[in-house]
Amino acid sequence: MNEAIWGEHRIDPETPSRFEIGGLSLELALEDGELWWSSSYAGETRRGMNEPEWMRWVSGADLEAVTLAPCLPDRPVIVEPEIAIDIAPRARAVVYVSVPLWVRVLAGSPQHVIAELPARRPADTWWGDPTQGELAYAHLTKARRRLWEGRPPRTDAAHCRMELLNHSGTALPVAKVAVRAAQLGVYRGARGLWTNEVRVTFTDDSEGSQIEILKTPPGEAGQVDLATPPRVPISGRWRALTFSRLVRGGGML
Amino acid sequence: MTAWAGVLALPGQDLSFLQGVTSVAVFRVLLLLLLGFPGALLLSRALSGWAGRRYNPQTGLVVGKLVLYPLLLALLTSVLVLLGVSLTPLLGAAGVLGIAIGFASQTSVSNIISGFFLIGEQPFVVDDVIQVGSTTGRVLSVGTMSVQLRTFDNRFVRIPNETLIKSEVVNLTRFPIRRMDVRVGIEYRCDPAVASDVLLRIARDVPGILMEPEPRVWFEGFGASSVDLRLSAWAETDRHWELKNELQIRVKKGLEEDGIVIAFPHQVLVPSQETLRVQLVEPEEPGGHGAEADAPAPDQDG
Repeated sequence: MNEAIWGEHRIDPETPSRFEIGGLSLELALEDGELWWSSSYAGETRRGMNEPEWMRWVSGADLEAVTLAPCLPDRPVIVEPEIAIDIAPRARAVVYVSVPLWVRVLAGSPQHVIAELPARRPADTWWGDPTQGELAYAHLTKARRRLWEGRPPRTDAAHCRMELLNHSGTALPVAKVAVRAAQLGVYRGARGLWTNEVRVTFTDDSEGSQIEILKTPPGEAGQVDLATPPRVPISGRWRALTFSRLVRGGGML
Repeated sequence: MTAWAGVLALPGQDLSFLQGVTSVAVFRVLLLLLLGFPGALLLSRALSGWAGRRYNPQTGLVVGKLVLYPLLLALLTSVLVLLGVSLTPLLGAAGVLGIAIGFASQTSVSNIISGFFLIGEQPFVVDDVIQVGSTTGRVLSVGTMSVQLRTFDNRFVRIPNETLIKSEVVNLTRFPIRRMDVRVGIEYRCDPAVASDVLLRIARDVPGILMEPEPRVWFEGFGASSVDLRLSAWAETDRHWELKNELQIRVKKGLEEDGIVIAFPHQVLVPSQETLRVQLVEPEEPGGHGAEADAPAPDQDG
């Protein structure tokens, strides 16, 4: 992982700074005391425009110091395992999923959030019934059963350990899982970026599964520091739609 | 007559009905008016505010009026009783007046009653976009007599409640997501399976088009000049028109790039046993000599 990405950067007034995080290309420049920024994604061309689209941030404070911080999306992320998983009744499964990262750009004193940009262009999706539900992001993941070793940590996603418990009397097909990203923090360590560990208990309740956010990442993350707290801190357990099995309205024309 | 009758009487006016009015009665009337009128207003506003917060602003408005008008009527009745005015003749006249007003105000009463049903049933609320017949607009208010809309070209439309109760009303913004359909006719020589794949790829690439419910392509039928396909995709209701526009533009461009031809109405002429000769004629050049002067005569080649 390119450790140099996250943290404070001094912007040279003479030369724009460029950062590549996942598929995101972020440019920062100083112009007449203003901070200019533009973003683009690999493989995308802006229709009819060859020049990047700049945004300007004006502040009375010094804008040469800019901080890039990793954060998670503001909506649930619907992760879809590349190969579907079935969990037997009264059984549990541990999966490691990747949660796409956002890049938070802060500047000024006190620091203000200038922009939050996804490291990869996300796909919008709907989670729940067509008459009521919530907007979410769709994400394809391997949903590994074991943590991979020897691979370099990713810069565009955080690892999330999910313990899935099936307390119902029937098998639980895991085709899609909602990861409540807004309630998770981002932790930074030698083994990459991690989120809090998540425990989900499925009881075939129409209200949804019981979700518990543990206070820290799992032990596999090693020694970590909190990089970004959750957008919506939550304590205790709550119920929400987590598995695609309880999502009604499928097969709509 | 009492002193009050003398004080209040205008020249030539008969106020003998005030004979029984005493100073105490006048005091009571004044007290009733000073306390009763503001009290009625305060009570109706309090209940209106509560109902508005508990349910919606329209319900609050109606509750306020339902409380205020009877209170004012009771206040007026009490004042008349205190002044010694007999209500019996008034009741008789009210009965006759009621019948006359009833006949005259059938439509108004129907609108008011329809308004109660609309407020109770809530097929739409303020800020919803509804379609009634050929009119589409955003709801500005739901009143006791009518509903007021603002069309997208900024016209003001008033629709009587009775009309809404009797008509089909489509609420375009009730649900958070909405499907858009793009119908495309491709030439018969194009492969519909390939065209379907292209359409799905295009839909998935449009930011804002939802992955679930997933975009689908349906084979709608064999048209007179084309194979008809329908691309269905979902998006947030607020972005429906914006994204449908973008999707259609990309569909045309995407199909062209992949060599899939959008069909246009055309007809194939199948001649009978006789040969049908078609001669292309060039436009006439300046000087009056056109290409047809050099073309062979129609009957030379048989």
